[in-house]
Amino acid sequence: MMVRTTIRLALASLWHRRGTLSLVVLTLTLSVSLLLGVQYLRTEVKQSFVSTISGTDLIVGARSSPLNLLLYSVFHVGNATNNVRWSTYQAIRQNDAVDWMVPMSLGDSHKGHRVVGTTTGFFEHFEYGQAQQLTISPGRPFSDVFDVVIGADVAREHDYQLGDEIILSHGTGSTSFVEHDDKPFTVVGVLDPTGTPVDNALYVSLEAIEAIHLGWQAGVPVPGQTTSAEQARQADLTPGEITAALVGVKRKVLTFRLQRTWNQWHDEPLTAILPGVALSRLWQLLDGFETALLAITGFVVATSLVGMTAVLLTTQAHRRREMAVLRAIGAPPGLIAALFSIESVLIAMVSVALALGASYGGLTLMMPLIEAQLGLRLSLRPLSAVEWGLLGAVPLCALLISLVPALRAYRRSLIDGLMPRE
Amino acid sequence: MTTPDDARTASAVLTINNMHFQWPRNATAWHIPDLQLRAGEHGFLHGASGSGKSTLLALLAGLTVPQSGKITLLGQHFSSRSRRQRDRLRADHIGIIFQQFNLVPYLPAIDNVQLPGHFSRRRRERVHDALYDAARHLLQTLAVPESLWRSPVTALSVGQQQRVAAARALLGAPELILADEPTSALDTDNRDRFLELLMDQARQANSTIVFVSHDPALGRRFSQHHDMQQWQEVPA
Ligand SMILES: Nc1ncnc2c1ncn2[C@@H]1O[C@H](COP(=O)(O)OP(=O)(O)OP(=O)(O)O)[C@@H](O)[C@H]1O
Ligand SMILES: [Mg+2]
Repeated sequence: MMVRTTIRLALASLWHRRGTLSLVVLTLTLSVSLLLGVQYLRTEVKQSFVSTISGTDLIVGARSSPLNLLLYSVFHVGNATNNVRWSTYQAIRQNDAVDWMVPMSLGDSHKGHRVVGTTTGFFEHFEYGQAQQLTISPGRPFSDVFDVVIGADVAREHDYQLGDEIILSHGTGSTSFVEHDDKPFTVVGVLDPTGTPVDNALYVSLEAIEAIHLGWQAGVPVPGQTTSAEQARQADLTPGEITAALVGVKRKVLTFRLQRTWNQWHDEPLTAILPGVALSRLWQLLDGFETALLAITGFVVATSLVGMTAVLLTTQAHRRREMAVLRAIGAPPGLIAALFSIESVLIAMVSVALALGASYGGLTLMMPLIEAQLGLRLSLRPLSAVEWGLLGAVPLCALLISLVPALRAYRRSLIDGLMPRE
Repeated sequence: MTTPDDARTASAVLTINNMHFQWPRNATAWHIPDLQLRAGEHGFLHGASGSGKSTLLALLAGLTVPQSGKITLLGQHFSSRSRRQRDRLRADHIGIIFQQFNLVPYLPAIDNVQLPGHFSRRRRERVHDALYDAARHLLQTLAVPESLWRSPVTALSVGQQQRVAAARALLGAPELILADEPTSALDTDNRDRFLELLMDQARQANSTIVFVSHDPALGRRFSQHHDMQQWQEVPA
């Protein structure tokens, strides 16, 4: 009876002061949403980031830092400083441990999107997320030299359809590059969205990369040496070099041995990395930042809780009469104290509930933006235990901090007698 | 073994014996050698401002305890009980009306009146668990317009608020009603009507009233009169 009465009183009193308290609820809701959002995005971005590539056991390229190799081969960020000779590629793929190998030749672009020269093996072997494969719809992989398969975002952004002709540019900068306008490519396939950098790239055959650079020397076309598309088709299009290669290993236990062998390759300095390990390393670089961000939002929540207590303490001065009345009716001082604690906890719970809605709403709105801006595909998922823990901690902290006004009310209600003396 | 003294207090609602009281950090002290109110007897307490009228009511309500001597409520040695027991006794047996601002601001009148029933099982049982009906009946009897029962209490006039407070004090017929200048904010008409209704209801519930007032005109309705100043011991 007493507990029910206390809760009923607390509810009625909160409702009575809803005007003032809605601001308290608003600040608390915003800060808890922020906390939840940061924690949620942090894990989601990590998940999405770490699953940019899967199913590939090794990435091999010319000697460079593992991070650089990962960035240019998977994220299409930055450039390779050196290439790998085709003969070396041929040699290393002879290793018995190699199950499959997909070469990649980078260095050209189309309207800011990277162009990747590769083999159709790429569409078979490249995996992302939980072993998801690339699918092309509509269309098919490239077969002719001047066929191109484009990523989902490339198609969406420029509204490309199957059969459209596009021109590739030399270089990966955003301005002043030479266009390969003498050899237009035909869109023969559009990849389904993956939420990875694949969406932002175009895929052509290795031969195509050779063909568009026929008659070039040191990265510029030699005047008077232009070849037509038809002439190019007839020429020997065996690649001279590639930028990197994705490798599948027959037995996973052989991965490290293969990596060691290639890292010590005698003919040409190579670097081989395990993409999973490299991704985790890269994530660790960001880890300090996002932990700091979470801590900051934690402080924001704490500040809002202190603000709530300040408001409760202020209103307490106006509520001495009310407390004296309750005492006179027979309310024990414990009930008076509980009233303040229950009110704090209820405010916190309402805010947490609102924050839950606000965060999910906010995430739903933000996800397309994040995908468009960062190429990270996030998904709405149920909250994790950690996130529920964070949410649960808010009313708990509210309870703890409410002990300040509660104990004050308790002591006052004992000394006030019949008439509180303001 | 009962002494004659015990027998005497048993029939009384309220007895004070040789009580000494002083607030902490306050030089004024009170000494009440002997005071007794029997069931149905009503006491009228007057005295200058600061003479300790509210102080005595706080003692009678068990909100504070005397340094020595004893206060007996319904045969129970009230002032030596634990705080928890005094809260319980107050909830069960005492109704209190203040001078003003009697009501819990966020509850409508009808809920304010029912409140004592939520704190005391005894008073709930006395109205046969029909708190709502009892509250309705009291509000009706005390002439609080039904249209105001559910409005915020701030919408009520001071006189109406005092009558709601009286209804709340009377709910479940507590043996003792303490009223601390409940009419001082009312005009003469309202004051007389209020007192009339309060005494009527107290008579029906067989409750004893201790009524504090500055206004000697009200005194004639009471069987006992006490000047607070006679008990006050102002330091020299
Ligand atoms: N809760 C309290 N704590 C300490 N001192 C108190 C307390 N309540 C009253 N006093 C002191 O006791 C003395 C008597 O005050 P009290 O309120 O009982 O007078 P009163 O007769 O009711 O006066 P009034 O007619 O103005 O209501 C005053 O000096 C007051 O300061
Ligand atoms: Mg007084």
